[in-house]
Amino acid sequence: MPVFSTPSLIEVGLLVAIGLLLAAPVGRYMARVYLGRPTALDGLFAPLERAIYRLLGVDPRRAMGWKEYAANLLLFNAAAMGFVFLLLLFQGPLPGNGLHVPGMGWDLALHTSASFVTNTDFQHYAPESQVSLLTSVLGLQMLMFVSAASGLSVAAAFVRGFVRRDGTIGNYWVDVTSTIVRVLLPISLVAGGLFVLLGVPDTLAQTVLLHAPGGGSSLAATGPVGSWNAIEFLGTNGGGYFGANAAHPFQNPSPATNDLAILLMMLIPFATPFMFGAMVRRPSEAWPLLTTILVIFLVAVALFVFFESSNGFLAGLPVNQSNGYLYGAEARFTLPESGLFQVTSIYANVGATSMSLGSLTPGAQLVLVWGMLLQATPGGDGTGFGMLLMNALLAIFVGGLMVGRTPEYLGKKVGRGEIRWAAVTILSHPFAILVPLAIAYGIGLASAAHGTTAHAFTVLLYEFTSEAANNGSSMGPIADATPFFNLAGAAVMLFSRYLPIVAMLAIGGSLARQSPLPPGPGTLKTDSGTFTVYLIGFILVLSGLIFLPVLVLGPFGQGGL
Amino acid sequence: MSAGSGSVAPAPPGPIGLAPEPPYRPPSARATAGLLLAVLLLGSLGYTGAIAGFAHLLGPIAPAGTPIAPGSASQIASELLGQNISNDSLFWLRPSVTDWSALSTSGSTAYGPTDPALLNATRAAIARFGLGNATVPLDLVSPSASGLDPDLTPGAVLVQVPRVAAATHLTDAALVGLVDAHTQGPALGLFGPTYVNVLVLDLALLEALRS
Repeated sequence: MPVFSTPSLIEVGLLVAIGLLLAAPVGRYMARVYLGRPTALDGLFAPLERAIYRLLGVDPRRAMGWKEYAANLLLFNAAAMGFVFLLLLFQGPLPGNGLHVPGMGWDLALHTSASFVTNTDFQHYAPESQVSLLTSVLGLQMLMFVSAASGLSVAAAFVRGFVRRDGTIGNYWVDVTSTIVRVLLPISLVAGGLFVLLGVPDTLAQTVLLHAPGGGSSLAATGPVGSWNAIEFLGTNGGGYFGANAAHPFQNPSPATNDLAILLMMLIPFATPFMFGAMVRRPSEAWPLLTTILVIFLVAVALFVFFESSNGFLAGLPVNQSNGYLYGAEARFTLPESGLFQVTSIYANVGATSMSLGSLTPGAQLVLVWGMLLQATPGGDGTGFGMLLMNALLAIFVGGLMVGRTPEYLGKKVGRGEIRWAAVTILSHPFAILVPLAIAYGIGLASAAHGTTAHAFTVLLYEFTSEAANNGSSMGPIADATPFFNLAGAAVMLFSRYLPIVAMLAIGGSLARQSPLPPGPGTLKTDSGTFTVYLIGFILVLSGLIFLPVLVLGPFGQGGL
Repeated sequence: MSAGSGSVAPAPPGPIGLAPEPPYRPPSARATAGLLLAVLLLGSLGYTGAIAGFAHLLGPIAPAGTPIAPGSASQIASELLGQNISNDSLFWLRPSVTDWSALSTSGSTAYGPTDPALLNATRAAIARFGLGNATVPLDLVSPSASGLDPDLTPGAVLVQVPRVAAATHLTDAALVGLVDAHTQGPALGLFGPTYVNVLVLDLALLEALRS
């Protein structure tokens, strides 16, 4: 099959390899940042951080317990969301609104602000006509930094639970500040500059006049797209500057920008296991987690490209699908390029789209939904790794009981408290997806999605799955800018973001109160191949099989696999 | 850093000793307001300004998005954004779900993969090119995700050569040569498909007709 050509296999392999080669040092660098160790650019970053701590009035040496950490995180996230909610409501008369965008309705503004603060970036609105330049930059882009930094802070605090014994898990203000100053901003500056060099527009003008060959002219929306792109992808945010997101030629003009976006989306999710290994001072413990991520991710890429290589439903028409079923895809990318972008974006819970997800073949749709059910291979910045650790804790607990070993991880006992939080988190996912889906059908709103019955079901399932995974991609077209979908969606996104975050901090805080146990003969070895295989199976069964009945009704029900 | 680093203390015998819960302080309103201000200054204003300034230094090309100016300054187009081209003497682009609007894009197409309406829509798109039952590449008769795709595969351009030749009185060979000259292959043999930017091709075609 031409879609699996040798160059495309080399290209995919090369991109994943480069992603890992970049992720390893970035992960070790992040570990130094979160352990408060000196780094190369301290001369630049440390004074800036000190100025910020003075502005905040916080003592950076004060370590917090998990409850204080969580309370500060929730307050700051609520304040940032509230600021953007107001900005969206009142953007009409404010400056930086050259296209005379009116204020948003309150339910859509609530959905939008909740969407960006939760790292979801689900867009029920049309960016070109419903958000001003000022709102984009001061509001949505600010939340893209805040949400990514909050997610990474939570991962760092969770991991500190394994290395501390005094019950503290770090200082939220220090973690967020240093994530932004030392990780997100420097990488975004480099990546934003690269996007500009590769031809992505970046201007404070809001429109550009186009003249068509052969006559006629039209306006095109534009803006500071290069800077937006970098934090959209690096922060696993995924909200498009334009409605067409990474399919839009201004956001993603060439195979080179597509590759850069893929690397940025991989960078932090792939780096976090390395950060973990360095923070717990056992680098070999990173490998089972990284291998789990890579195995599931690479199988998903292969399956996606395989399923998208042709659509048998069109067999009777005189069309040639030798380049793949590129219906709703851009001609400047090969199928493996579009596919690697799309699978990376969904599996890392970015949610950016470079293809029309609704027109993917049923098998490819299934691959994407599956990634959002797992949420952890690799999942979004910080929180994806937190979900992976939760799965690992549950796997160790269940496995330990089965073979009669003490359930412990890195010298810390995995007890009732940890398991309770982890189990509630894993079960909250089907709850947040299936309950609103049932309500939508129950009150007769299923007609928001069009097409065959199974396709419409898939679209609605995708809507709530994407919101519950804080992913943000949509399998449109779906008429979801209505009060029900806005309010239900905002509730799903907030619940599915902050319940797992509180659980991660609680588990970290609980582990941090324990003194580590020396490894004994009854200790389950967690840096072994056996454990890796077990963990992969555990995640696929636990997080995936719960959903098999709805997958039968949705993606499978469309036929054509 | 507090305790927990370095040497591992011997575990006490019997039940594990748990450290007490650390003292709790209520969250700080001043820190909240201060960090909001800091992120607005750094992540919104400073960062956006830095990249926009860099783009400005690179000249007028980068901010607007690779304009092509074949004649006067008023003839600025962007080779990145496809537009509605329906003139018989030019090569056409693929269907657009948003009617080539660059002020409102959605990233979605209308039909699911096994929707009977998909067959009808695709048949209608095929009929537009008037090629009878000849097989056409899928990209020519299917919408892109952006609705603004300026590119086609070479095959999708070449099937239009007879129509363009009839309308322009250029020979098939001349047109095929023009298409070949505007076909770009994968960078380094690896990155990207083989494709044609139809806007650039059409501008070259107009240039050829003028001379």
